[in-house]
Formats: sequence, C-alpha cells, structure tokens
Amino acid sequence: MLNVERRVSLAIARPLPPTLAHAALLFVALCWIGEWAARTPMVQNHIPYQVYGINHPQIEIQFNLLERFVQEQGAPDCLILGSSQAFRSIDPIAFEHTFEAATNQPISCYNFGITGAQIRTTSMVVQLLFKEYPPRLVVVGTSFLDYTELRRQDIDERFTQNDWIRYRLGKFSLNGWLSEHSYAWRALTFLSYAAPHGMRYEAARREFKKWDGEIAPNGFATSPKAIDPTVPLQTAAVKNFQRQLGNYHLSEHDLAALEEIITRSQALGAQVIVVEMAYHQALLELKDAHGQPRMDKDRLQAFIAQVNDRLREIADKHGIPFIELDPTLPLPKNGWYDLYHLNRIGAEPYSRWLGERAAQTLDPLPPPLSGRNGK
Amino acid sequence: MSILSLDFLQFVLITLAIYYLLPGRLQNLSLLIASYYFYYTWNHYHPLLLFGLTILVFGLGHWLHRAGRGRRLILVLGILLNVGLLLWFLIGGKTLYNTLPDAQRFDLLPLLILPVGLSYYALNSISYLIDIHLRLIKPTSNLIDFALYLAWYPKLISGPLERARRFLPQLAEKRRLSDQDLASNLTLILIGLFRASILAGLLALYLPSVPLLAPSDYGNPVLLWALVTYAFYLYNQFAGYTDIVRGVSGLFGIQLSRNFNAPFFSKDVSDFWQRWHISLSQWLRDYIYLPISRAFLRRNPSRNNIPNLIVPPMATMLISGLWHGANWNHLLWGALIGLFIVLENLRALGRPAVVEAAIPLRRRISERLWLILLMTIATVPFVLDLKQTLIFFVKLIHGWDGQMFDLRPIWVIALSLLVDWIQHRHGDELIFRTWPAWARTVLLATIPLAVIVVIHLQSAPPVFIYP
Amino acid sequence: MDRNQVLQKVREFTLNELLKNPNYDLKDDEPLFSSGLIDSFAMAQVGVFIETEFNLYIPDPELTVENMDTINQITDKILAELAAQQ
Repeated sequence: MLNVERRVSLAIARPLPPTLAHAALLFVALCWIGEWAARTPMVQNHIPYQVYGINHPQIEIQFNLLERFVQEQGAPDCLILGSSQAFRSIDPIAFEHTFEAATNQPISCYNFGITGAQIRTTSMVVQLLFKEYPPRLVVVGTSFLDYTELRRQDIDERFTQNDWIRYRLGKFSLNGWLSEHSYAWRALTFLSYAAPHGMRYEAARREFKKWDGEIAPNGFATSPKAIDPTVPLQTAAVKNFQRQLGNYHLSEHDLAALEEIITRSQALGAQVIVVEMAYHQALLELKDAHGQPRMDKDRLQAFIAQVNDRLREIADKHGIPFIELDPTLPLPKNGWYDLYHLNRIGAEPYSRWLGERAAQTLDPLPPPLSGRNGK
Repeated sequence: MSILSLDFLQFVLITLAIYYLLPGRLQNLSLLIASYYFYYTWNHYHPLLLFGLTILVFGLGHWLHRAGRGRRLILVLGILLNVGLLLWFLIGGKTLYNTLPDAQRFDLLPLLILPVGLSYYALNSISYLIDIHLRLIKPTSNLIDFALYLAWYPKLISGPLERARRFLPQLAEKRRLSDQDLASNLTLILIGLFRASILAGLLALYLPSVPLLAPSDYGNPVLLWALVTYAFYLYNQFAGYTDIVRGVSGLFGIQLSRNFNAPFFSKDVSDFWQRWHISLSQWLRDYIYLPISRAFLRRNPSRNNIPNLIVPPMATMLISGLWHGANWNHLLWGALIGLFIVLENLRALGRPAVVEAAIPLRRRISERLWLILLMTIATVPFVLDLKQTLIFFVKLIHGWDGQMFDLRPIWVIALSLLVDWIQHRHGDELIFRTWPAWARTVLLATIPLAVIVVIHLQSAPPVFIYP
Repeated sequence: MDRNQVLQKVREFTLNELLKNPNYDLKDDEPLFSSGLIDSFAMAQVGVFIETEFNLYIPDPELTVENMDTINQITDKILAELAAQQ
C-alpha cells in the first residue's frame, strides 16, 4: 500500500548528449540557409512587398514606398498625416509647388494617410515615423469624422500589438527583431497572410495587388475614380454612417490623440498645421432614392461646428494654424472619390489652395535637421 | 495559460528549477502551489472549488475506509457530490446562463460556466473513492499528496485521467531522473510538439472546419473530406497535447498514462475505443461498463446473453457523450458509437474467434476503411449541433454535387499516419530514440524550427478591409 | 486446489465460453486479448467465471489486459487471490 513518509530528492545525472549540440548547430545552419534562400531573386520575386505582420495592405505598402522615397530623395521635409481623407485628398506635389512658390522654401512631402484609421491610430504611427524620419513640417488632415463617438474599427490593435512597430520604438522582441532584419521571416509573414484564406497564397497576394497603381511614390492615392454625388447611397452605407455618429457626442479620446500628434511634432521643432478635410454637401443630407434626407442636417452641422470649435481651441492652445474648409473653394464636379474623399482630380486644386494657405499662416520652417536618416 | 505558449514554457522551467533546489520534504508542496497558481491563471475562483472538493473527497475517503456498515452510502454520497457538481455545470449552469439577464450573468459567471478541468478531476475523485471502497487502495494520510493528485498541473486541464493507485505511490517514492528518462521525456515533448503544433497546426491552416460550419452549402464529398481532415486535426491536437504534458510531468519524475495508441490502425469500433483517449475509455470500462456487464452476466453467464451485448455498451457510450457535453448532439454521438459496438457484438456471435494475423490482408484493409467511415460519420454530432447534424446526414445521402474537395491537406494526414505506423509497428511510441544519431540530430533541429515556422504562419490577423 | 487444476478450469472456460471452439490449439501463454483473439469486453465474463467457479471477487479495475492476457496469467491471478484470502 501507499507509503507516504519516505521522501528522497530527485536525482539527475549528466543530461546533455552530443546529439543536442549537433542539433543546435544544424538548427543555426538551417536558419542561415533559409535566410540566404529568401534573399535570392527567385524567392523575392514571389513577394510583392516586405510586410511586418500588420496585414493592413495599404499601410504596409506605404512603409515600402516611404523607404524607397527616402533612399531616392532623402527623408521627406513634410509628412502629411491623417486617415484616408488625407491619403486621397492631399496631393503632395500640388502642395509642394504652391508652398514653394509662395515662400521660396523648397520642400518634399510624403503622404502617410492610413485608410480606415482614426486620429488615434495616426498618433501611434506618428511615434514610429518621427523616430525614423523627423520632419520639419507636419500636415494633419482631419475632419469631424475623426471625432465621432462610435467609430471603432479593429485597426488600433494592429499597431499597438505589432511586435515590429514595438521593436522600432525600442521594445525588444524576437518577432520584432526578425521582422526588421530577416528576409526569410518577412517572407513567412507574407505567407502567414494566406492563413485566413486557407493557405491560398494568391488570395493574400490579391489583397496587395488591389493597390497596384493606386498609390504614387510619394504615398498619395492616385485613383481617378469619380462618383456622381446626386446618386443616393446604399442603405447599408447610410446606416453605417448613422451608427458612427451615434448620439452626436464628441470623442475626447480622439481629440487627445490629435493633441498628442501636435505635441510630438513640436517637440521635434517642426511646424504643424491642422487642416479640415473636404466633404461633399450631399453628405449632410444623404438623400435616398425618393429624395428624402436620411440625415438630420441641422444636428450634423451643429456637430461639425462643435468639432471645429474644439479644433480651433486646440490649435490656439499650441499656437498653430487651423485651416478650415473654405465653402467657396471651387472643386471640380468629377473630383469626388465618394462623399468625403476627393479623388486625384479634386485633390489637385484643393492641395494647391492648401499650399497657399499654409504659406500664408506658417512661420518659416526650421532648417533641415542634422542626423536624419535620409541620404 | 495555454500549454502551447512561451508563458507555459517559462512556467515549466521556473517550477522545475524550484523543484530541483528544494529539499525532498518541500518538493510536493512546491508542485501543489505551482499547480494552484497555474489553475488561478485560468480562473480566479475555480481553485477554491478544487480546494473545497479536495478537502471533501479526502475526508470522505478516510470515512469510507474506517466505516463498517454504511460504506456503500458514503460511496454513493461521494459519487453524488462529484456527479452533482458536473451536472450542475453541464446542465444547470448552462440553462441559467441562457436565461439570466446580462449583468447578473456576468456576476455569476464562475458559478455558471464549466470550470476548466472539472470533468477530469471529478472523475479522478470518483475513481479514488471507488477504489477505496473496493479495498484496492488505502486512503492517503497526506493531504498535500492527495491535493496534488487532483491538481497536478500538467494533467489538470485535459488529463490524462490517472488512478490514485498509480499516481500517489510516485509522489511518495524516490524520484530519479536518469539520462534515459530525460531523453525519453524530451522525446515525448518533441513528438507532442510535432503533432500538436506542426501537424494539427498545418491542418488548421487549411481551414478544414469551414464546410462544417455551413453543411447546407456543400456537397457530400467536400463534407466527408472536411470531417476526415477535422478528425485528424482533433487527433493530433489532443494526442500531441497529451504527449507534451506527459513529457513535462516526466521531467519531474512523475509518469502519466498514455492516451492514444494509433487509433486509425484499429480493427473495429471497440478496438478504436481502446486506442483513443485511452485513460477515459479505461475509466469508463472499469467504473461503468464492467459493473453493468457483470451484473447481467451473473444472471446468465453465457456469451450469448443478448441484453449483455446491448445494454452495457449503450449505457457506457451515452454516459461518455454526456461527459463530453450535455447536449443532444453529444448524446447522439454516444448513441451512435454505442450502436456500432452493439452491432459488432451481435455480428461476432456467429463468428469463430481468430487471431488478428490470420485475417487476410484484403479484409483487414477493407475493415479499416469501413471503420474510418463509421467513425467519421459518428464524428458529425460530436462537432455539429443537432440541427446541423441532421442537415449533414441528409446531405450525405443525396448531396452529390460533383464539387471536388481540397486535397492539399492529404500530405499532412499521410505524415500523421506515418508517425502512427512507425510507433504502432514497433509497439514503442519512443522508437525514434533508437534511430541513428544523425537522424535524431535532424529531428531535434527541424522539429523546433518547424514549430516556430508554423506558429508564425498562424500569427497574422485577418486582412484589414476598409469598410 | 493446485495450479494444474485451476489452469485446467480456466482453459476449459476459455475454449468453451470465450472462443466457442473446443478444438482450438490454445497455448498457456498465448495472448488472448492483446492479440485480438477475444474482445476485451469479454473480460466481464472472466470476472463472473472466477466469481462462480472460485467464489472470488476480482474488482473491475483489476480485470485488465495487462493482468490477465493469457490463461497462465489468469491462473496466477486466481491463485494469488486465493492465497491472499487464506
């Protein structure tokens, strides 16, 4: 029967046979071979972009393009930040031209607008961008859509939880280190994007291929797709818009994120402007097929006014210009990608106007920083 | 804390280090504290439940041992305590969960959801009490040892089920870990990782369960194949998991039972049940099947005692179904398996006994394919609820749509069968240890590498779609 | 009861009741259950046979294939239990 009294400590003898050491060596050799193979054109030709586990194709393409931009032209002087509104509506070239003409200061701009992002997301990416490429000018494109109470997407976690971003910001992890340094690891990351498609690699590639020809080398959206603003929206889109607005409360959380971007920019010594992005008047009513408005226009306009008041307040507090949308600004009829995004045709006059306004309101830019990552 | 995580690896290393450093008297206590901490990481309240149950069963065990008359009553009390707890969570808690308003539901959550591991430690408690009643064991006088028997962290969450007879003496004895033991346990962990992380991981990457979520959208070849793939996924997941925890436990010098033995090489359904989740099958056999069957045979000891061929297997499998989940679909699953065993029993009546080796190869192969088909069909209600199961069966009968299934996972299934076959043929699950040094070196290097790769492949969030 | 008598009874029971084939050439250490010759569900029959024939109760958890795979093993188990009773 059971004897519970007698106890002797566990004893262990020589534990490591040579097999383990040989296996460790082989392990290292296999890793090395894998890395070498991943760098060959044979493998690289199958990988459209270097990816970092965010699985947000537009943003990962942006990281690739920005790196190429920096290699070719040096770090940009000016970063354009915001959601897809900034991405589609601020044309860096048009902005640079008018700004340079008015101030005689040549600048290069890169548009890092993130589709689907809220200002909170942008404030996270900003940390990374500023660390690598500190700008002299920051243009924050924003609008009331950034401060609705119920606009929530699963996008923030992609950035806060991402090991590579955290690694770049100074928090070490093996995954982050490998993502930064290993081609083989990034190739596997791309393969991992096929996992939600049942390992169909083409499906993962297609998500990236969708953006072919949609993004210019300076990060700007090049789509000429245009809508007819008088055509009513589909019910689902209307409902989605109504849901985002909720009870027309302001998201303080997102206003704080805007301030964070401003503070971080100013800490670098950069000039900052906050710009109200364009939306079509039809958005305020959202008329259905019967011509009936589906939005409470007065309430929405009051909300927009409230947002702009707060933005003005914040701008004043930080001593920066807030450039509000000028309702008299002539925008071409075929210049709308949808009701709250311009396409590249609409973005051109809008960005020229913005360049002029920026030139009028901004102090001279600080001199280029030494020790930039650009070449 | 999931078993397949870096946290768990860290936890094992820390508990091992403490265990080695402590003097013998404190070792079991350290394992008990570690086990309760581990349980605490799953749920903050359930360690209390486990502790309460431990005290009660410990006390009942001693009472049962000393009692003269009324022993049976004490045993029934002990069984009712455990079965009652299980039934409360399986049926009562679930019903209440579905009827309560959200706020209350949240407050009462620890009392409503089935505590992780309860299904296992309740059965361990029952077998402990029955074995005392049968005078197979004496109750242990050491509460720490007994608490560890129920709580030992490698087996706490999903078994294997252990008998006190085999487990408790190990806690009292001198535990030595030789080179050989270390190598054996690391091999087990490696085999477990290969199954759970690589094979099951790869099968999961092919999304085998997608057609099962909406059987009405697919034709029968696709559905059948999805089930086969899913069955292999479940098998490697569970078998690999068990191997890992057995290896981990072995590093502390505590042996746990084997749970799987090449089930896909079984000759019939009853054989399958002795090779799949073995520790549960044996528990059910010892404490449900045999008592019932013996009661029938005492009236009529003949092999042709028909009720004996029907009632014990049906009762056992229905209870197994209930244990897996108190749903109609799990009961149906149990009933189907029970029915298959009954049919096998009846068929065997008219046949003379022959040894396995004497059966012609062709018949052996056809019997195995037939078995895989039967088990696949039985798996339907295990995976799907009753309504989807019925849709599935209707689809099976007339759902031919000519749509071809996704053949890609077949190489993983082949690999899984190959590993089974190697272990089965040599009758030694650790046969890989006897392979030449170069082959072991290759396995030792490639398996961890492949584990890292497969885990990385599973790590991506789904693609962000701008609404 | 000496070992041979017990073995003889076990053998008869196995041939007549379990195998249903009195002419089968059964060896004393031939595996019955692990070889697939007899289904292990028949272990209940063995238990009841020992109850009636030897007036011995072998608890269910002891009726295992490891303990009682051959007629030799079954015999030894019976003898051990008989010895323990005295």
